[in-house]
Amino acid sequence: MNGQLILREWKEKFEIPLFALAFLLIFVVAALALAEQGDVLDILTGSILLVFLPMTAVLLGASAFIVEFKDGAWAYLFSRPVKKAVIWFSKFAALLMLLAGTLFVYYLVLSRVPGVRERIVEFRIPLVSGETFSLWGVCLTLSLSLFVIAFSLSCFSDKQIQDIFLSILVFAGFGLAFASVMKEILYWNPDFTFLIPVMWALVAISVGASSLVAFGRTDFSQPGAKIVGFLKSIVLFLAMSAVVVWAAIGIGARFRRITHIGLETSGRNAYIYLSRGLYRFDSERDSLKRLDGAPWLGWGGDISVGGGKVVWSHYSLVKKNGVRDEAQELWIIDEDENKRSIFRSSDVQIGPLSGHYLFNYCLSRDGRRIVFLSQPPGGQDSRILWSLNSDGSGLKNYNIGIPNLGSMYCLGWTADNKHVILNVWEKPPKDKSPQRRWLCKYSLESGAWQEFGENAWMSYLFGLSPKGDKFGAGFPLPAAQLPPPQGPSSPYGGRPELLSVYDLETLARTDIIQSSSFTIARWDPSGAKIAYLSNGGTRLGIYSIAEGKILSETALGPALKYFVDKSLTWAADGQKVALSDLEGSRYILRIFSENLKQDKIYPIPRGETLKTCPDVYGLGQKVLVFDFQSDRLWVFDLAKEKWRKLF
Amino acid sequence: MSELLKLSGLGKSFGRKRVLEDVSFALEPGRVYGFLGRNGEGKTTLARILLGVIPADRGEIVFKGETIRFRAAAYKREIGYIPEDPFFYGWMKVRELLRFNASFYPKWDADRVRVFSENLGLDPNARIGTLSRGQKLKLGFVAAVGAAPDLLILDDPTSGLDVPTRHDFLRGVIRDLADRGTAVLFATHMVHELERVADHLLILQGGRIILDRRFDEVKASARRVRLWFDGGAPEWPRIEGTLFVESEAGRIEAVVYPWNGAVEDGIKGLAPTRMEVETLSLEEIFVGFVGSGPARPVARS
Repeated sequence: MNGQLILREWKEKFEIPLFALAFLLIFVVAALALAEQGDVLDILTGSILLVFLPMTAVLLGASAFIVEFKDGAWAYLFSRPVKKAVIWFSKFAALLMLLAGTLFVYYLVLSRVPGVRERIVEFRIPLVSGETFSLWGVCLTLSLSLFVIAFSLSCFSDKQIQDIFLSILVFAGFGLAFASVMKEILYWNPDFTFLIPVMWALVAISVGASSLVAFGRTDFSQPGAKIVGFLKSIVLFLAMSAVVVWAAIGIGARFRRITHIGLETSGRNAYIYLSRGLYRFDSERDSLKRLDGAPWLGWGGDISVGGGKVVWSHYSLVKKNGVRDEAQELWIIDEDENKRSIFRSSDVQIGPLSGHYLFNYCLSRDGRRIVFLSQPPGGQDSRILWSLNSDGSGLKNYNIGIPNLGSMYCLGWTADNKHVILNVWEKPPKDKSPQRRWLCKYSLESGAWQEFGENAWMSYLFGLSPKGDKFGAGFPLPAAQLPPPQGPSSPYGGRPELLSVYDLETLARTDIIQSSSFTIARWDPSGAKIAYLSNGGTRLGIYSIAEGKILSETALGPALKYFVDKSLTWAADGQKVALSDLEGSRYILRIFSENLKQDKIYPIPRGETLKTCPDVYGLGQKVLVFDFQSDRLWVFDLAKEKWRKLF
Repeated sequence: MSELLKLSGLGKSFGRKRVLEDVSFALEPGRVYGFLGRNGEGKTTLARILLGVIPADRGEIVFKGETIRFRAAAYKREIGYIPEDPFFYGWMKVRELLRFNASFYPKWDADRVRVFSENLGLDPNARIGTLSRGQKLKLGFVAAVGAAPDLLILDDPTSGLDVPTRHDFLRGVIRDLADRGTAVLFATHMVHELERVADHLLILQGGRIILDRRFDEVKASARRVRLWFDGGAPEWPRIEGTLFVESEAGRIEAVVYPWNGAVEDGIKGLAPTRMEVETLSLEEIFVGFVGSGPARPVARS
């Protein structure tokens, strides 16, 4: 860049930012006078940020070469001993600095004007994908994009007004193109929202680079050649940009922002399914292995482990012959790490699952069969149970004869690999009476079903024992049995007061502990003991199934601001108990020995920024801490007492 | 004398139109080169190529022994350029433009600029937008010579000057620059102006240099011949160097370059009843070379 050229440009174009700053003064006076009139201030602020400043930017960009055209100074400029690229960049930098200075002054001033400041900070423009952009972000994107486009086009025409309108048209055209890419190809997937600024940046670079190339190869006497050169270049640059975007979508998917984490543990392994792909964390080797690439769209799918196998599903959305096909694919990895797709259901495919939404995949304990649920087209509350062999054969659906069946969810397989345990709801009553829910043991061989666990709580926070031979649940006591203050006036309002265990062979129920307000209970890896939190999460205990008694119990401190504000797991191969807990304003990991005497405390990384309690999962000598609020996964090494971020 | 600038096989087309076919010549320091050609022959295109404004399609430019690439710029510090219409930034003052210009040239001669500005009557505080075309040309001269260039390219700038200024410019500025060692490539349509200053003559026609000779040699070797015959004029023989022939009843007029004994003998062989041989002005030589009608390709002699 050349300082003299920049200085000359500033002298030539300073009126534009000066005019913008004069307008700012008027706006500030108006904003102060109209501080009480919210709607007017909304319109004024929006107009300034979304119309006036972008228009200033386009005006500044379009003015770049206007004097050379008007005064015929091209020959003089080009015959100076400066490269044409330096001329282009010097002008660009000079005008960009003027624009940046203008925007900066606007930001400084507006962020200090009462009423306007709040609107700038708080107001966010929603996208179809559900994400939002700040008003300033949109203003900057609009202004910079329009500036670059207008600047790039300004060396082709001596008519500034033509450049301005053309720039707006080009901007709008690319905006529509992006919208159609997001809608038709990426289906407004929030995972790809990051592509919007990337696409704008690439277009700006393409337009700018094409302008530079055309500017460098031709002179003022050949407007036609310049435009042809520009069009040729921009086709090339845009094609390259499209390749970059395509690569970002496909190859670069593994580097995508994590928008969800699915986690399943089995033995000493954790299987982590996220928008970057499927990973296995081996707690013994402390290694992370990528088992599969990211699903095309990275939308959430299911993951299930059993019998040394892992199944997972993902969506693939493709358009063939003008028909949009939303397909779900089920993949499996065997013990020997052979990976294959075993099942595909699509919208356009003719078959029993055509148009169904498939979910809740559940692999049997021996890894031979998979059950899943489907929601048929238009059947909002309807669920159908299916099973499939793990080689993809033997698709079968089950007509469960439970009367008034509303919805259901599969909680897992029993030890015999012949039954599944379902959580079942009746159809919502029309008279607003409480919706009935219960558990169901369903035979996949005979289709017979047995109800149990009426009004069971904690099906997910207690549930199936590691071997699948027992099922734990919490139950509220009948109101009459509740002593105050845990009775009907209890602050936890009918929370489970009784922990029970069902023998899944006989469905015999054993009530094991009665206390107030259980929040979570966890089976130890052998299924012989249960760790639990009671009294609204303020009391930790361990219960022995074999001995039929509470082994130890300890108080954890005062009740927390949120009811379920702790997560519990067995750690160190069942020798210890790990708990995520709130200490002051930060979350910590507490490790207890089996007798609940020792209590080691480790601050959870970024624990002070969390608003909800992270989940903990014991895995050999490690504890996984899943901060689902911001989709981060940490691993804590109990032996080394060190944290490591997995994702 | 060493070559300051050498062009070899330079070619340039705009779309399907071939403007420069195969331009080759060399310039030496301290000499004024008259650069002639009809309108549209590519003189301005050549100047733009030399200044790196547009790239040549083919050929080579060597300046001070170094091959010049299209995107190079440093060599332009040694080149002054005055276009036919010397437009500048209208909002600048004369002083501002000269200061702006000076920043590009390490050899900027401020004293010389001051002297030239005063001699040419340029007001340093005048807004360029208010200057007449002649004053802008003067400013262009000052800006160009201030750079103390080794090569000055003039693209027909004198047509807008009043006669005394043009006279001063030609005698004073151009000759002075040449005497200081600057090579001047002077393209003009006011051919007679060149007679006062040109050392060398280059004529561009059909995309090629058809004449590249010392001016005094051209002047000394070009002749117009008029022949009269009793009865009908015979057919003009194949005489090498014939630039122009016009034949009418009993009379032939021809322009020949170069004139020598063999040409004279050949013409005398036609046995004219009367024969006149006269020298030509530069304008007549130019017309002889490029013809007076519509532009037509002429074989290089």
